[in-house]
Amino acid sequence: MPRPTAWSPEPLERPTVLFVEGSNDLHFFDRALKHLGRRDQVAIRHYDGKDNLGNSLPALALESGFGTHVKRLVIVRDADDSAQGAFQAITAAIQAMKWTAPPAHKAWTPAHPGLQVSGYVLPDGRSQGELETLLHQALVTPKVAGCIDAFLACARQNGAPVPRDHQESKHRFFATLSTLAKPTNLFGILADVEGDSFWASSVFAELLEFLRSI
Amino acid sequence: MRIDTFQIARFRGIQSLALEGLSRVNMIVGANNAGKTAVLEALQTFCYPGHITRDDWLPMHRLTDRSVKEAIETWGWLWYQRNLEAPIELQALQGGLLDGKSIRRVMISVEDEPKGFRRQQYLQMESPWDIRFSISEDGKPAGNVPVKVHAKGGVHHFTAPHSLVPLGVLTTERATDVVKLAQHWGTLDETARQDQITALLNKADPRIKRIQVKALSAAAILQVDTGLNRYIPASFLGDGIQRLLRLSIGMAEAKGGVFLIDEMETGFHRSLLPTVWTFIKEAAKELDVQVFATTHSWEAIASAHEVFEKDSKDLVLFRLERDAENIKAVRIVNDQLARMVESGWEVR
Repeated sequence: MPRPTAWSPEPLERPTVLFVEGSNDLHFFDRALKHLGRRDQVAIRHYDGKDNLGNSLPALALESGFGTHVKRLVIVRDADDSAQGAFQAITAAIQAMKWTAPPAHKAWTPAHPGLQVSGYVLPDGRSQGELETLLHQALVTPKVAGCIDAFLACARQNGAPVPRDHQESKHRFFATLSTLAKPTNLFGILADVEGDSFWASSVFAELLEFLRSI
Repeated sequence: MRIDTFQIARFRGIQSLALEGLSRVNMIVGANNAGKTAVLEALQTFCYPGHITRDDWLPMHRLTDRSVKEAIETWGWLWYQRNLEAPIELQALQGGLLDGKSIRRVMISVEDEPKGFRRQQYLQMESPWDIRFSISEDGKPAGNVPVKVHAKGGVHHFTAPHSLVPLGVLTTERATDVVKLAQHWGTLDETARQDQITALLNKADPRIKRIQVKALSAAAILQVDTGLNRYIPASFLGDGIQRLLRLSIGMAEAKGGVFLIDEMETGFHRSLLPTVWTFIKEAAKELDVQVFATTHSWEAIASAHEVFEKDSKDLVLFRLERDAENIKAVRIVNDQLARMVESGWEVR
């Protein structure tokens, strides 16, 4: 019998829903909103990968509480190789619901009676990349960043299939994790960021400002 | 008969509600007081008005206090906001509301309600109310049944009839009427059906080997072989096994019609739910029964989704949502239901 395991979603009894791409994003935004003291205002759901946004949004709209409690919906997606293409995918999913789509990254629009909708493309609405791009930039020092670039270049020269597209930032992120005092994964990082220093990184400034406003 | 749309007007807490796009198996969920059981009551009353004389008529469960005054009020509360001026209207359609063809409509009206001094007389004399069932099929009158409802809450006189639609009901009652079950067991037209039911109970409790009718001096009862040196009367089995027995026999009783299950999960351990749903799925198909089941249980929904995954068109979930006086039905099917259940999103 399918059952939620790692994550038991809170009821949709909060005014805002963040609809994010995957479970990593879900845990990241959970921590970010807790850091901002806004977790009790925002419910988070994920659509299990960018290919599932189109069929997950109708299901989300049918969830108990969506039609009665939810006033704002933010769809979050990775830019991958094109921020513009990612935003278009968000608007296409919204329009398929016969709702009005927002005109631009971070902009709000009344999509449907009683519902405002916005789209946010990671890492910043302009650049290629994804969540891991931000995390890598937040964790790595300039000097270590050079080491990681050199490491990936060396690996590539010696036959390792390290891609050169937007996914390279994921490789950078995972390489960065191996340089920490206690090697861990994304969840480990997020579990250890109780203090403000992690979130004080300038790379999160735009995102946190947006999350304060939702 | 397969109902595609069921429409309810002015019945109990429901001013107006349409369940469109019904399937073979229909789950009904929703918060407390959303109207789930009222939908089953409406279906039961629609399918077989004569059920109002029976102990398993679902509204009868609300009539436990049969003091005269409360009984009078109870009958009245079957009408929305106790407005007796407008009739209750229950209608089954083939197709949707706009293009649907009415298969059958049942209207229930009060022709004589005690008022003022007369009401006092009624209270003292326990005189009956006059209620009328007006039945039409495909827009043409098909029956006009007067009913005298006893002031004490029972039915004084009812000339109805036959079932309009074959019907079975599984209530949340714990007690099993082993005499009635024995009668129904005896009417099962195929021994294969009896074998299927025995196999179902055996899955729930492998000790169960045989079910048989035992003739006693006063009546016949249903009893079960569990490997002991004597048979056990069915009413001494565990609550879940008794309910499974009532469910499986009740579905056979509903052949070609409608089977209603109130609070589907009651009495069943969650590990048994896939077995129960598998039986319901197969029996509904073989017997051409349309099933309506209420539930509050996430496990019941998840296991239904799992069992119907390959025949997802045969399962629809309706969530009733009440907004002030209005109730709407949110219909959830196929991929959306799968997405919600597999993600643990709140369907209920």
